[in-house]
Amino acid sequence: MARMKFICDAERCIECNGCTTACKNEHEVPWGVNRRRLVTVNDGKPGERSVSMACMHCTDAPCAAVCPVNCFYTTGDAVVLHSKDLCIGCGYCFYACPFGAPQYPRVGNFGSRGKMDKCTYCSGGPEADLSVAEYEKYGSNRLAEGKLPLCAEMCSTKALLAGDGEVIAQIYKTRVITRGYGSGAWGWKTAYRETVAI
Amino acid sequence: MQQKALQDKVAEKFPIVLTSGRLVEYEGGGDETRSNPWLAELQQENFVEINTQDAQKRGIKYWDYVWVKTPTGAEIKVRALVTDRVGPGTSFIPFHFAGWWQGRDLLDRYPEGSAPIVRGEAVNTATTYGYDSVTMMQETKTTLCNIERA
Repeated sequence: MARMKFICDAERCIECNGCTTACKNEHEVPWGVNRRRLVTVNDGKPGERSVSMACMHCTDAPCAAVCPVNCFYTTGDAVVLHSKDLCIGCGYCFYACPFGAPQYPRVGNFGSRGKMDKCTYCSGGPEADLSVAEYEKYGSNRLAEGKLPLCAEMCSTKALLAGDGEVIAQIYKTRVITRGYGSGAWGWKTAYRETVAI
Repeated sequence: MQQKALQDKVAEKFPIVLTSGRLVEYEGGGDETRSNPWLAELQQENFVEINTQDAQKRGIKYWDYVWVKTPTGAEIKVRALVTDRVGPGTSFIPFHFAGWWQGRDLLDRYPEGSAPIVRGEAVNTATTYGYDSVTMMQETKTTLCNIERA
């Protein structure tokens, strides 16, 4: 079965925020919760690079390792999902995550946290596929419709790729060989314990 | 006109070139796009891009509030984005913002429910009076200003 991954080609990303806006639109994500966001380094200097970050759906996910209520699970497509019915909003996963993926809505005064929200790889949650309950808690389930995550589908420069790890790694390798330089598939070593070897 | 500007030492009092332009998140004057929460969240305040050298001379730090003052007497209050993206002696303000007038948020003047989520100082409050005599196009790209800490 396919092993789903994200790859962001920092040589191509133009910091247009199309991915973050597509994600907000598709899943009706509220203000202050960012399932996907852009990180820019060396802003305004030569060598400026941007990379689009969300949950990378790690192999052996650190969020799942620290969760006190075991609300995380990995699907057959290797997507890391969680149950908002089990989540207690403790925030441990936020500290464990190397990518800053877990987000929490503010639910009351004194900054108390609500149930964790993160990128679902556009594949919903534990509820029945394409049900109303699933949409309300996790947003739409594009994977169940046979579609890939909308952020990658809408990326205007195709910097952000989603899909079977083998396939997107091959696309990335072809690009790097053609242009003669690369950015090293940022985050892959941390998330998947591997790099895209050329 | 040019003689008067020279006599008044306008260029010495206002040593920074002010130009205006676009951001990727907003469109035109920005009223529509600033009313869209998904876009408004990405750019929540108006700012002036100022070179690191100019900022250091004026004791301005990243995201401080600053006053941008121009020869017309106008002054606008924006955040300072200290960056080498603009050269020394140059500054940039995006033109997608409106709803503030010289440091004051005019939220109470909007008809109920019509105020955009994000409001900010409009750069053309500060741009000067120059225009092209053939096309009658106003000069919004090479006006002068000085920037001070607020």
